[in-house]
Amino acid sequence: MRTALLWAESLAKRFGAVEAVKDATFEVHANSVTSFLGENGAGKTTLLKLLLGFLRPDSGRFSLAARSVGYVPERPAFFPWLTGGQILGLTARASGLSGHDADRMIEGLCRRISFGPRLLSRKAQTYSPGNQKKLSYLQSLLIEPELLIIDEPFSALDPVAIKGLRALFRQLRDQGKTLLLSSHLISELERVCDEYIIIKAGKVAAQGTLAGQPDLESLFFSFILPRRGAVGDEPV
Amino acid sequence: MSARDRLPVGLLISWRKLLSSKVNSLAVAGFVLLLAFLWVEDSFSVSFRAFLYLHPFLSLLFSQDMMNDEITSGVLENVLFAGGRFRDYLLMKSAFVAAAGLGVSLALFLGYSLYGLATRQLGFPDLDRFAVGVLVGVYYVAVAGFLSFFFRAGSNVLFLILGQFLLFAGLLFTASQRVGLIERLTSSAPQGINAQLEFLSVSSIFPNIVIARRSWLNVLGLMAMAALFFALQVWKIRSLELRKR
Repeated sequence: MRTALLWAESLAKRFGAVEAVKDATFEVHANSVTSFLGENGAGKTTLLKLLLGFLRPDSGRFSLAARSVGYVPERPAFFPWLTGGQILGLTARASGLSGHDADRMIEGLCRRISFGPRLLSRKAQTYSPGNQKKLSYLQSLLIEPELLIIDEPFSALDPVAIKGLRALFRQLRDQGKTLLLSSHLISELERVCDEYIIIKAGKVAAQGTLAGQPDLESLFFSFILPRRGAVGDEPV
Repeated sequence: MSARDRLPVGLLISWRKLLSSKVNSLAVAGFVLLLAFLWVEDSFSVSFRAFLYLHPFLSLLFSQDMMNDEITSGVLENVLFAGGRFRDYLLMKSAFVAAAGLGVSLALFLGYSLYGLATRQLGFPDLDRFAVGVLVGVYYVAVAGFLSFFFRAGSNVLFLILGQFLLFAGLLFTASQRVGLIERLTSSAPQGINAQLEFLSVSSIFPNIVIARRSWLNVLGLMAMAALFFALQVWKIRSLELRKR
């Protein structure tokens, strides 16, 4: 039996008249790469923000057994007065890393995700969206999280970085870490994830492992478009 | 991340923000130049008195852009602030800004006092006046911090300054019809609850007036208003969610 690192029961969140998340119940197993899948506006990001404490659920509860949690948002933003190096320095300090250890780790991580270390002396707000995303990865990886939550893991990134990240995700899982990804890019998720949670209109439509499934895309569309059949079948 | 590790991180972020702000640097430089000008053109005593009445404005200027921009820009949706830790950071900010204002004011006060005592231009440093000035600075941080939930960038400070300008303009242009009010405001011991409430209302917009009228009642009134605005800040922060950008 697999251990749940994170479980949520009947989570709900409403923004005015909009029910962003309704009665969401799911588990994320330790040492897995789990994907939240859903259409735009399905409630994936709201669910992540609830789990990260940026939002409070209206009802329901969740439990997180991870001692440390990393987070890479879809579009990271940084304090405009801080350089990338200062942001990483603060992150290292917050996780109790010594300066020497932090420098060594940052150097290695920069290579892994093809981030130019020279950028670290510049204000992070001046980075391109792709480099801001990479800086956010560096921050999260620096704290060596037991659970790493990533919203749209490959958005704004170049193919070299995406390839490096795929390998990194597998390596992290092999090291016993847990990853929770959220995206609507099924083809990319399919290459890295081993469990899925399909979100439809704020509800968990399905949850399971990819083992024994034909492919993630067919599975996704069987839940999201059950009556309309496969995408592309509709008359033009 | 332990609370012990997080506190210096929040302080460092706020410290670097304070240092990187051109408005803050200009405000401190401009204030020191004004005091130096008064000293050179008039006297040490006039410069010192100007300092005692004006130094709380440093705290007000340091309070620009405290909350709204950071909440709405998405910078708090960071791994450093996950698990609701952004609330601790925002709570710490007000204390930091108040301490920064106090730090600059205290450095200037010590300079004045040491010089004044050494040259026998001061019999005894005006400690009570300075202490009330510090309280006025803390009040400014409390009010401006609360206003910054609703106003972007430095408009929380501009709103307060505009309020003071309108108050003075109103009093100036209606002085002939409000002789009684002005007499009560400038009186050393206003009598009656109405006079006290009038003074409290005026001091809520222009708290520096309490430095001139340092009765226990006025000081307590200002302390109560500062506590009220800090309580409102805490209430806003405790119920805060990072909803959208």
